Amino acid sequence: MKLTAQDIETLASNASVTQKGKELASHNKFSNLKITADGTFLWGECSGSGKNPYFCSADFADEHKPVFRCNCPSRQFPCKHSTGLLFAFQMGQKFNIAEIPAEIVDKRLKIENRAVKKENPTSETSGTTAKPADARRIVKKIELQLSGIETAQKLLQNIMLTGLSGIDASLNKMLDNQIKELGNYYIGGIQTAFNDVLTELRGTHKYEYTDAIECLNYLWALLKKSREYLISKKENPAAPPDLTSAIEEQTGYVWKLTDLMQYGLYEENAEIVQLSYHSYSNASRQEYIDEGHWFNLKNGKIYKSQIYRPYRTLRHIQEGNSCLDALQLPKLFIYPGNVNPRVRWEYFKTRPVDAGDRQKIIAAAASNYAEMVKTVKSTIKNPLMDKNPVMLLQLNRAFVAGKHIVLEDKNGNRLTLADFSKQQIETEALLQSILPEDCENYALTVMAKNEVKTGMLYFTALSVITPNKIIRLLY
Amino acid sequence: MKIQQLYDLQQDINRLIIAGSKFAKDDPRLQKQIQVFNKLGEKAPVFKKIAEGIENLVGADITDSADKLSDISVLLYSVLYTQGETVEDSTNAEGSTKLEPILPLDDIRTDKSYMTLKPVIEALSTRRSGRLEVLKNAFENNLLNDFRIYHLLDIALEDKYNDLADYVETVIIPSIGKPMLPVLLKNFNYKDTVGDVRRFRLLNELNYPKIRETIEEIFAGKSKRLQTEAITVMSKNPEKEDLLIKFSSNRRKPVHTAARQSSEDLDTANAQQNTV
Repeated sequence: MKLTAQDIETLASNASVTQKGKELASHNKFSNLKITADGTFLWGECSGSGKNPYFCSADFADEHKPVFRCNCPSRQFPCKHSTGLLFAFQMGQKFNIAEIPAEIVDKRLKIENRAVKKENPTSETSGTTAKPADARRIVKKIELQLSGIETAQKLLQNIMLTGLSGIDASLNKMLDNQIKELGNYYIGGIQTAFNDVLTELRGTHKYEYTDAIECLNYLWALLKKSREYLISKKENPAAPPDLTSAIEEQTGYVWKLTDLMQYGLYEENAEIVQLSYHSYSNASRQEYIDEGHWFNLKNGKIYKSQIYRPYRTLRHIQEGNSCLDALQLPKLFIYPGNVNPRVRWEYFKTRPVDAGDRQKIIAAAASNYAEMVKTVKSTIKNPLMDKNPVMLLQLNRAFVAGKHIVLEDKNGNRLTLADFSKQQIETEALLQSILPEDCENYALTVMAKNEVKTGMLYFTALSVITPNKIIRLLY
Repeated sequence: MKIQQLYDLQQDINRLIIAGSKFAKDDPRLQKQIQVFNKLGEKAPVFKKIAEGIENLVGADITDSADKLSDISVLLYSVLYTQGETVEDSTNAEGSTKLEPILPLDDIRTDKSYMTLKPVIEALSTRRSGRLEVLKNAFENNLLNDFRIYHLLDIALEDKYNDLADYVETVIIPSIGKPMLPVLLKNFNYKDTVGDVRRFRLLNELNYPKIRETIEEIFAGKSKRLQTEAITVMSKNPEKEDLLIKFSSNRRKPVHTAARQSSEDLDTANAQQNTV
């Protein structure tokens, strides 16, 4: 078995576990290291602060889904000991060949049985059409959602009637409680949109309310559309969900892979390359968002992968990481709606990104900025669409004007680059330090950012793609 | 081309959202806007729609006003999203300057992942304990030579935790070498701070070509810490002896005393002649 440091980082639950695991291995805390002859099971002992060592193991019976076990009390999987065990292996520490323990054979069998069960579900759950009981349940849920939307609408009407300047501390607190109650109606997306409004209002300085008003507009558009959508769904509960827009997700539905599979929202044998990766904190969602932007080598589309990590459960959700290799995916699941659709996958293989891939990315980049801007504008004018689409630009000429880098295409169309502090992206200075004036044959990944306040449509640089490499300005 | 009327309307709509839609009925400013947008509507139907939206708002009862205000606001902002300019007004007026990359593109590698860099970035930008240990580890594993953290290393020179700033100054930045020069220069403002003293020392160590001009500038300024440091730098370096001799006749006492003392320490023929 071959394992690189990058592979271990991908498997590790977060950066701090990676760091601690690496330290354990480099400080020689492991002893009695063993491996099975086929190389699929590693185990050993790791000395801790107590008298007895921890027994930890890593089971690669399923190469794509390794199982980590350890008798330490940590609730992170893999814990630092199991991660350290992998680092010990990667660093070339000596593992003696041994027979696989009997209890592991039992455990493997159990996992296999579970997988078989999952693949052949009983006839009860395999029906694709909604049964009458199901239909009743769906209608009941929709009714509840609609009453939630009505409550939300009343809240918003009150805010509009009173005016934003009338929201004082006590009203703010009351709104907070009322928004919390929206959580009882299966409309998580609307609840988040409401939280966005309040967060934005709290951060307002010098009576500059434009950002808060943009959030209000989104909320109003969302309430209107979700109400319409749910009413039509109530009339025909057996109809499939709307797959042309992101309304289901925006209202609060969490797509499962089985749903995406059922509605054919996947691509087979896809190959994708990550253009940039970024992790930022979103106060109104009370979450970290790990966001990757990916280029589909087959169709030239740009996708987004997102992991939401709520502050409360940080330790139990695997942190995302940058991916420097190309991914080969038997199935790439694509969420409905939006210009950069959200994607997910279960299994993947990696291979190094080669010159051909980079050439494909550069060739797919927009060479006419005016047309690209037109696409961006037609997307962001829709109140429910992503306001910050990610695009690829072919570079031609760049110069500095005032504080900003200005890009010019072959037809003389110009764009201005700027940082995006709300999403904690500050890349302009970095780009200024490396970008040559003559940058033909390079591509730039950018995120659009329209400022209604100033009437400017800026672009934020995320990475530079040259025929030889991808230079990440973020991670 | 900017359509000013849209931005004027935005001001009015914002004003109402801030004050409350209860004040919308028969708002005189909005009533004026109806005419403006009806006229614009002759060219593009969307303006007609905006005019209707305003009409609905000023005609609505207080109970309906909230919904009508939300409707027109959504519509107006949608139109504004199509109006974004891609070049600032000042771009053409001020003229442009050339990009001067400080690092050749061929030398740049960004093959370190987020998970690898994150502990380093946190160590350089937060105030937690155990940061120095993280940096030492990262240095041993050769993780610090990444252009994405150069500016953080420069900021770390001002860190309140002295040992950390020392380590960055004496070990990390010298190991990166010349590519750090432009980054250091960007924040070197001839200020009387420990950070600038560290930057100056590094500029000298990394053989900044304009170090002589920098030293002269320091003595033209008022920073005592920088001046003291400059004299120390010169006293260790016979090549800068002529500068020492020059400052020996400076009219400020602390400067000429220190310069004379240092040239004595240098103990070269020229210096001896100067101190006699």
